[in-house]
Amino acid sequence: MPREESNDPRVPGTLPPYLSVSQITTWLACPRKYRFRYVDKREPESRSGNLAFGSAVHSAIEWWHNERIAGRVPELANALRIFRADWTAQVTDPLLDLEERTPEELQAVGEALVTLFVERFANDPPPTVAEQRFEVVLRDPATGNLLPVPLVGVLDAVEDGLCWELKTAARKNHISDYSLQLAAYSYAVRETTGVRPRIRVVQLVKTKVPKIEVEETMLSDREEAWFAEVAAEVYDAITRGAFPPNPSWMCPRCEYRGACRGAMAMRAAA
Amino acid sequence: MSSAALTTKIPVKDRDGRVIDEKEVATYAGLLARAHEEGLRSVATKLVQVPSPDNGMTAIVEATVETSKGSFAGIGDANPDNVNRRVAAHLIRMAETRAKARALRDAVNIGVVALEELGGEEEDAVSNRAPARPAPGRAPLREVSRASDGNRPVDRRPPAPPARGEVFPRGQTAQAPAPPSARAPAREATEPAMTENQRRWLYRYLSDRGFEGQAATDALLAAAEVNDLRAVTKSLASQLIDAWKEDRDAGSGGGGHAS
Repeated sequence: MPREESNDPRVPGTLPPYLSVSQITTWLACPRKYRFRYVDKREPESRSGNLAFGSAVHSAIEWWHNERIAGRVPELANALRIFRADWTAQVTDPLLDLEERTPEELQAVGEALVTLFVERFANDPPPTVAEQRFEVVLRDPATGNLLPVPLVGVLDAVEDGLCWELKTAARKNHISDYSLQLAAYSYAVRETTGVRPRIRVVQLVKTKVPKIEVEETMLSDREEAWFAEVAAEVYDAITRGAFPPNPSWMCPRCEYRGACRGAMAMRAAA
Repeated sequence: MSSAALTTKIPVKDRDGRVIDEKEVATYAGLLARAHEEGLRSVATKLVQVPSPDNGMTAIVEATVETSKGSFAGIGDANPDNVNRRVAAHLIRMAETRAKARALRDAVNIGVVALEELGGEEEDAVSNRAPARPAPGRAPLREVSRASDGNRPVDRRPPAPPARGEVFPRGQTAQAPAPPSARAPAREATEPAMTENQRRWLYRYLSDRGFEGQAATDALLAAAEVNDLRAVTKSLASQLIDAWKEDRDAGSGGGGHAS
């Protein structure tokens, strides 16, 4: 008898093959959203304009890093052209939700942010690698046991003893707002190299007058252990199929809002 | 007067792939050229059936050719089982080409089957031998032969990447074989959409060629021969990328940032 296909994460084969910071933060923000995205692999009803904007800025800066790593001296004009091309590619997606801002307005902001970044770091030596992928084992600090899946992610840029994290944000955030992600990266670099890195957080802020904020930090054993504990608990919840919705201020812009409300209505009707 | 050959020979292979004979077939370009010589007045096509799971994904197109000798009709069908796998994503275009080839054969009184009416691998054989034909993997992009106005030869070349600064007006080649509303949904229903990475690659490539903003979108639509980016499927985007990479690598590309 053929086995029916299942989206139940408790069924072997449907568990995630790895964990990423994005998966963990998605589950923490809303377990049901995690299920829609990573278990059901449901097509989103919309796409976040903020994420699309960040992606276009990121890719222009990645291009700039790579040009310098290759020994070339990239012109700002070309970095801006890369940004515009990627931004145009993003805004042609009919699912994009720009939240009352226009593509032209955001393009101008993006160009200003890329300019700020290039001007800020043009005289510094380039990083060693841009977009460095990592894959490390995850250890549950409570038990010492290894999780059955690795932690996978990408560091924006890496150089000796330093990794970069680039953020685009509507306002300047406190560095502790990114503590889970930074702890994950610190954990990953230390697991890989044996050395705890400094982390440079570059915030490109989309204020009326765009600005750049650069800070560096180094995390502690305790913060890394806390990240591993969170990851282990999230993984455990996923394996148990715990995906309750988490109604919050984020719901109105959620890419699965319709599906979520439909699912709840069906459950109520049943 | 066109120099396109009216017929060509294709190899006939046995089960093991060994060439055991040759077969003469008509070429679309040759048929069209002959039809022009004989007073071609118009070529009209009509989409009779949109491919869907209910009809085995079979597209059917009817073509009517008018020459000084009269009016000639032909029917063409295409489904995933009777086309080359590389054009399986373009069933309506293929059905249209086949319908027009059949109508043109009657119009110019050619009895042998046209290459385009055959199932698939035969086209590969000819394309490998005759450099004038589109390269494998690129042919489907211009496979849509637009209804002729009786004067302009049908463009069957692969999608030329726009030159830097070249105006690539949207709709320049547009006289779709079927209404856009009939074409795009058929694709959307059956194929995954262009991915974000593909979209980024294409726009970067166009940017390298001097196309930005709406001009880039217009150039992409024209190259893909669609009226809406939602109709650019993953496979169609993949073909465009392959074709443009080939052009770029051949030295006709731009700055090479699209990577």
